[in-house]
Amino acid sequence: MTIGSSAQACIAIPKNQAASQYISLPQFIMLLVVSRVFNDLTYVPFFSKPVEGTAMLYGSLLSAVILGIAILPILFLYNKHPGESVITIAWKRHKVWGYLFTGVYFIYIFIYLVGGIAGFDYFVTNVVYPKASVWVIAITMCGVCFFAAKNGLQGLSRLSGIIFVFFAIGLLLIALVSIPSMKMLNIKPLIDKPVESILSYAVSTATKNSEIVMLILLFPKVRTHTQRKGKHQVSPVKATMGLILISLIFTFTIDFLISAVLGDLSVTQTFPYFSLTSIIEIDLFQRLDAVHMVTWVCVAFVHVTLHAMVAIMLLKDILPGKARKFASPALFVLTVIMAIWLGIRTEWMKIANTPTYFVTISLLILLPIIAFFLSKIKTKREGNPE
Amino acid sequence: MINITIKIRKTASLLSKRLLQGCLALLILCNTFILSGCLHALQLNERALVQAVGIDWEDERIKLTLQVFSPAASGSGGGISASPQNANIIESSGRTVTEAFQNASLVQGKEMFIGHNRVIVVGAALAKRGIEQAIAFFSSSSTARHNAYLVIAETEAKEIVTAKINQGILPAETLERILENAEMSGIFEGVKLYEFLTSLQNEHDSAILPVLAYKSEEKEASADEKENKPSEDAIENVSPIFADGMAIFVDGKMVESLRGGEVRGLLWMRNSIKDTLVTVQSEVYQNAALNVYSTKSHLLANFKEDKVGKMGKIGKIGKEDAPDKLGDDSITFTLKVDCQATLKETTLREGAQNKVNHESIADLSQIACELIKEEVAAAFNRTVIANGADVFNLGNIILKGNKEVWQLLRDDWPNKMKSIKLIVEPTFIIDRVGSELERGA
Repeated sequence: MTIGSSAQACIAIPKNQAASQYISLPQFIMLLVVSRVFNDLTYVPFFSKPVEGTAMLYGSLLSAVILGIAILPILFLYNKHPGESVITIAWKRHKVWGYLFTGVYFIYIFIYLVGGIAGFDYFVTNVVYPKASVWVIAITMCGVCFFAAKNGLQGLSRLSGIIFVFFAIGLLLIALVSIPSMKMLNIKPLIDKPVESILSYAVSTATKNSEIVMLILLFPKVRTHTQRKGKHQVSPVKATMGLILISLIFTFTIDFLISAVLGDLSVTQTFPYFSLTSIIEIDLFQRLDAVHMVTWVCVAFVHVTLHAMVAIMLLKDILPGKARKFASPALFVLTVIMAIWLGIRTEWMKIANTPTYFVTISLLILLPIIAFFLSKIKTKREGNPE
Repeated sequence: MINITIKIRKTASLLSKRLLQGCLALLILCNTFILSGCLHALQLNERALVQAVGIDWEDERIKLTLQVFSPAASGSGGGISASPQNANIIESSGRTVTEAFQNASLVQGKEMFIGHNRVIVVGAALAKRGIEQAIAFFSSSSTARHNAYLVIAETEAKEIVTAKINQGILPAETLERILENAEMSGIFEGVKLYEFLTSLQNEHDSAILPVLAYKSEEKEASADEKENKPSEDAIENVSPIFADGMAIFVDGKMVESLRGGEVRGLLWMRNSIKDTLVTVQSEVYQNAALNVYSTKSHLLANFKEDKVGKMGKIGKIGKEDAPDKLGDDSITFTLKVDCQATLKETTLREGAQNKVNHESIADLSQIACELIKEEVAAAFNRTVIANGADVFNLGNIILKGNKEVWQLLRDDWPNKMKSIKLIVEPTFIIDRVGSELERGA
């Protein structure tokens, strides 16, 4: 397998498709933020360690700092190798490295893809249709998302832009309506192991962030257009900061609203944000959960589609030439089966929600560092042909 | 031949592509059915729209009384008329609320829909027994309104839910309005289901709920009145339901009920008064009605530095020793109440001359301040001192003010709070006197 062909699906885009595969920096940030928001909206305290509201607030701030630091090796690598991704660098060095890198990233993205479908299933069968079968929801959602994934990154990015604006307006409306129900006494100082609870929440939030991995993988597809330079690569720092800061604003707002309105009740709620929207009211509306439901379905669609798209790309990189056309249907079947299984066995949902510190550190820090050394070796060899 | 084979292959490939696209389109279409609510659809006539729920405890079983929307036609127009009672009552019982609801569906033959429920009324017997389990049904249901009002019935919830209210389209709607108006007038504090659940969830907070009573004609009417019973043509009372005070809950069980001035004292402390009427007496006025149009209360915790300052160092003093070392007067709460009022109506004492001037207004302000102090003290004594019920967020205020002190107090908080001293500092400004300076008779 040659480097070009192996890395084709993910990075090296054929000329005729190039125009539809590149996206702009704002589109890219909005796409990742919308996908990221899915985790905040679908946060289930039951599946993770219950955390007090104040710890959530401090924790989300700290998680942004942690991510900002953890992403430094990648930023360094991408500054050195503009237009290339970690995976391309690995393929260029040797196909073994290529398979290894692609395989690791594929497994990670696939787990989040299954988790996304299972999370959607869990919400729908618990809140919207308590009598509906898990498999009906999983199959239809997967079908739609895989079909959308087939249509490319640019279409999804454009849609994300619209959803981003819609979500921001929805959140603003919810925040304004929440003001009369807010009680600042609900945001209390932490007394039981404050440092530990803040740190635990921050690390857990930072490590359960597949969008930052998406940023690593999809960044080479971001182009900006200027009259002077035409289409050219943008600064990875801008993309990272944009993603981290905008995500932080949304996450912090959501956490603050939940803490200030629900207080200690938030820990006992299956879906705290849904509970918040079903409680707050104004004269016109008795509840705002409809606003939440609409944005949530859209956000879930973007989250799953993006993960499906990247997972298909990575799987195509691993599979041999003829088998590539089966990547999408095979992944569809596998995702549906695993999502249904997770939806039925909720104890596994809890396990799936356990933070995987080592995996995230490996993907964010370890693999990029390895990629950097691989590129150095390659450069040296190219520089000294014997 | 080769051309034909290629053509067949191309056609097959095109067909399979079309088939795939068709399947996917069908799948998307299926999704629209699911997400738009077309699955397991229930027609409106198959649903019973519950407007108010009464929960009682009788013979070791939960007894439900449901007020269900049942519109009566208003004649030729076919709309909903406000004159008849547009509601039916369904009664059922069960070991749990869920079971009772299921039994109610069997009685009614319709699916009970609680998404429009406005009020949950809990009987006094169940409230004293503990209502946490009874309301768990509503907190876990995604269709239930978590912002429905939760109230306690003085006797039975059934009395309140089935009461004949001669106003509005729905009795439950009027019931909701009664609660809203009572809250706006500073008679009691309306509590939503989620607010009550939040208080229960807090490890040291105590909850409160308004109490509604049923004014039975038989109870009220004296023998003479019964003899002079009004004719059937007489206009009926709008509603036999009235606000009867606030119930105090400790660990989910009703322990006390406050009435009259105690309730307003509770509301002053909780900063829950939006508008209220204070009636005072002075040397000049037999009665003077003061409408408080603006009020703000601040409850502040004061820590004595010499004692608490040292106590605050966690780790130097063991938790076991702490409660003894924290003196009784170490923590004092100060309640600052700022009111602005309008002098609405006065009744002069016999022989007194009515002059609305600075002296008489200052006199009334002073008397109103004393009244506020009395009401707050009464509420504080009945809740905190007598029952160890923290309905004023005292624990949270200490926690916010001095985390270390709270750590010393939290384990024995119900007892420690009984030694807390409260200082009330009201400011009552009468800055509006209406359009008439000389009044009264």
